[in-house]
This record gives sequence, C-alpha cells and structure tokens, in this order.
Amino acid sequence: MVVIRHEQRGPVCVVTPHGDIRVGPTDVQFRDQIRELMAHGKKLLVIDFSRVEFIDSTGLGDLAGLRAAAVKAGGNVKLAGMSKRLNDLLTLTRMDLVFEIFPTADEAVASY
Amino acid sequence: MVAPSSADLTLRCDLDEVARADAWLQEFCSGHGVVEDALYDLRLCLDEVLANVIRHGYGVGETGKILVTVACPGDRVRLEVRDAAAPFNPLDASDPDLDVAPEDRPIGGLGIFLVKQLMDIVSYDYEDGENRLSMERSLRRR
Repeated sequence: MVVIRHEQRGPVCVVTPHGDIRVGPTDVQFRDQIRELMAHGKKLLVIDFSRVEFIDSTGLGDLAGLRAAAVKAGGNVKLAGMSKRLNDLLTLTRMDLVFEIFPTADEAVASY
Repeated sequence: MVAPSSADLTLRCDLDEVARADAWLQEFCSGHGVVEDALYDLRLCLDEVLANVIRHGYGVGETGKILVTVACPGDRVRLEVRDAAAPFNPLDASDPDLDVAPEDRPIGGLGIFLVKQLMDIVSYDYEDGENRLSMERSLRRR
C-alpha cells in the first residue's frame, strides 16, 4: 500500500507518498487521498516523491488528472524530490513540459 | 548456491497480482546481479504488460491465468508473458500523441509505448491459443 502524509506550509500543502505507485490498489489510494485533500480546499499542492521508488503509467495518468483538477480549481500541482529514474520517465512521456519539477519540496513550496 | 538461470510464475487475472510479480522479478534479478537501471526498466515493463493483459486482455474481474517466465541468458534479461485471452498484439497499437497535454491523452497506450522505448527487443506471437509477448533488456546498456 502507499501511505500518504501531508503537511500544510502556509497556503501550500506538501503531500509525501511513501511506497510504489502502480496499477491496482496503490494508484487508487494515491489518487483518492489527494483528491480528498483537494475536496477540502487544498489546491496549491507539492507532491514530494522522495519516498517513492517506482511509478508506472497508471500512476503518471493519475498525476496528470490531479494536476488538471487543481488547475481547473485555480491551483496547481508541483513535483519535487524525484529520483533520476522518475525524472527520466517524465521526460520520456513529455510530462516534464507541463509539470514544474523541483529538486526539493522546500524549493517547490518557495516557488508558489 | 548458484541462482537458477530462469524462473516461472503463474498469476491470476487480478491487478493485485502485479505487485506480487514485481517482488518475484526483483528477487530473481537480485540473484543475477542485474544493475539498478536495467532492473527499473524490467520492473516497469512487466508491470505495464501485466496491466494490459488484465485490463484489456481478460478484463478486470474475469478469470484467467498469466504465465511469466524470466531468464538471464548471458548479458541480458528476457521476460515472456503468456495468456489465453483473445488474440491481441499490443505492438500494433499506435503510439500516444505526446504533443497532446497529458490529461487530454486517451487512456491506455502509454504503457506499451514505454515497453517499446525501454526494451531492446520486443516481439509478439499467437501460438497454441496463447498470446506470447517477449521482451529483452541488455545489461550492458545503462
């Protein structure tokens, strides 16, 4: 399973998933828990991937959907703490062109 | 003790099984000195192919078996995924249009695109009532 912790830093909610995000239960947990936060008004989000080793195309699809929902609500989703492999995956799928990606969550928070 | 040069795993048609296959693959690769980059590619591609078979081959909630074989002949790892769903060659699917915003892309297609990008050899056959998708990843390439 994927455990998601979140911390409010001023207007920004930093979400830190722990575990792999793949097709099946974990991608549903990941998507639904962040959507729940958004439903409670958290629309400026940073997702800190420093505790995520693996994500598949289903998880990437979830990310795209979460970003679209946040933007529609007047917010955004920014990414931080990604490993080289996760960064490579975003580049390969050209998702790096739509997401703002930062080395650390602190830098992502400061960018809002 | 020398690690066996190949291994088989039988899975049910259930998305929960994808994580079990991943753990099995990691255990096999750890006994064969598979480097981290290659292991990530192999894990991702097996995940994508299994998800494809379960969601689009058999269908979620349906019954069916999937047989996975991994082998490490020399300086490469070979994976074969066999299923008895209706004949379907995923390699025939067109690649997703990456110029379209991610949220507007049609669902599906990205997984097989990643398999084509990350593996060195990918092939499909339909034989004896089975779909057989094979993929190979060189261990020399980073």
